[in-house]
Amino acid sequence: MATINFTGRLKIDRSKVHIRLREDDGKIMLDVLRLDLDGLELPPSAAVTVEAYRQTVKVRIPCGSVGALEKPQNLHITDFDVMETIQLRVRVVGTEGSSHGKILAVADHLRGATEDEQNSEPLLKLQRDELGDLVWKFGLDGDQPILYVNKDLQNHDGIVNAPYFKALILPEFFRQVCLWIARNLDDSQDPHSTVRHWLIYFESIGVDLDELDALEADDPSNEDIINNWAQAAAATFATQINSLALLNGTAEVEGEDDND
Amino acid sequence: MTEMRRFTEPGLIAARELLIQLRRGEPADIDALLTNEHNTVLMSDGIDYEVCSFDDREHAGQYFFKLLGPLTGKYPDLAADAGLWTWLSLKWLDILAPSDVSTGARTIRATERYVLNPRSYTTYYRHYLSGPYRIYKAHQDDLNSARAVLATPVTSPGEVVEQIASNQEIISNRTLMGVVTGLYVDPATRQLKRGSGSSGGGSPRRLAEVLAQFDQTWDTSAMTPAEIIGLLPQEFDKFKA
Repeated sequence: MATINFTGRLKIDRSKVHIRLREDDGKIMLDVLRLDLDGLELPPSAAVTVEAYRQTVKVRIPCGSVGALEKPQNLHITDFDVMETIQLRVRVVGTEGSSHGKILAVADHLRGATEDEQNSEPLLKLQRDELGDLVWKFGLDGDQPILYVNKDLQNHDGIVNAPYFKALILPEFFRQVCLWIARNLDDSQDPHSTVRHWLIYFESIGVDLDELDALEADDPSNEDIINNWAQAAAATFATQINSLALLNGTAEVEGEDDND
Repeated sequence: MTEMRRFTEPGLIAARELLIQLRRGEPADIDALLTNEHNTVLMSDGIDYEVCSFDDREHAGQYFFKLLGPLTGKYPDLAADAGLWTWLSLKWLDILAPSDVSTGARTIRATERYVLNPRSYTTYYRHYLSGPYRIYKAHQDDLNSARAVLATPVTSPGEVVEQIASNQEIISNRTLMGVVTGLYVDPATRQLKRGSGSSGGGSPRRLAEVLAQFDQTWDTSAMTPAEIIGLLPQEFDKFKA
């Protein structure tokens, strides 16, 4: 679904874009596999461009126009030395009248995810700990968010697998992960970092990452942006795991194995 | 022929410790660390070079671009090689932090000037040697556009570098780099104009903010620097001439 922000740009649904980066005999190759702009009501003449960027380097790949889309494949990208941390964006730019040169629609921070990156270990880690009378808390083990559960909790396994635990605890844990991520965005450039793995997960469930682009170092107003974003992200997560339905229909889903 | 080595992970730790020692004015054997078999590994013994000084960042970038060219086949991501760039900065320490003739003490600046952390987006561009190398490499086809971030001495990069090289959207965009250079570099001397390192109106910090806003609305890569300069607010007028 497209949304409009203050710049008037339309947002291209990430699920409608699939660009693959791969290595072939030491060469970095790019394939535009899916680029669906239907439903955005963009002028047919508007130019479509894919940009690949990493630190000081940016490459632009023309993909025709909205009315005559081209999806280049097997394209050798020579400007990058390595594939790691390359990000991608799609821009649709007006070519006529008052919209000439104006960005009409965009999908940014896309990644040509490789299979290796998708096969990372589970993000959600539970750990039993001495918590006094607290049932659970958010904590960190190195750079790894941990859901600490009171070690004295009786029927530990039954409780952490119960629908009410997922519905009530996990969204709040997720919100706290979001707060931590937003304050550690520098680490996201490392493809092996925990922050990066969480961002991939956020993206996969439809969390809006563009909000994070607005963050500027040392800006006190960041706190409001971060809090609002984390709240919205938690709501997206709650939708993803059907929190309300889990509670309302406890008897039906009790014991169901959920890997979220 | 001279050896070129890179620090191992323990070597990077030792390099940081050595910088701390030097900062405290304590004696440290730099040459021993540069050749220590446990802290370094040989990358090449077939490269001919001498430790030399540089006219400016462009000269440094060009020098290392040519020097390291033969290694890129074996080490594809040289720009991000923390071991190499940290080793090079210590190899060049007499240039980057010369010892005082009378006291022998060196003025050691922030660690990120010598020890590269390529994963830190807030500091990677500050490395004295890899910073110019990255920019030179990315803009080698159009160095004039990138002159604003290559014109200063290696050991005093200045405010334009700090504000512009730290901004990925600007440093990777040749049109926007043309804007920065068009504003702040005197075409006659190829040096930064007076006042380009200031803060406030017309400053590099403000320019970075304004260009970031433009880049959200306009396809700046498809525009000319002159078109964008024409759109800049009045505060930049003093640099437009």
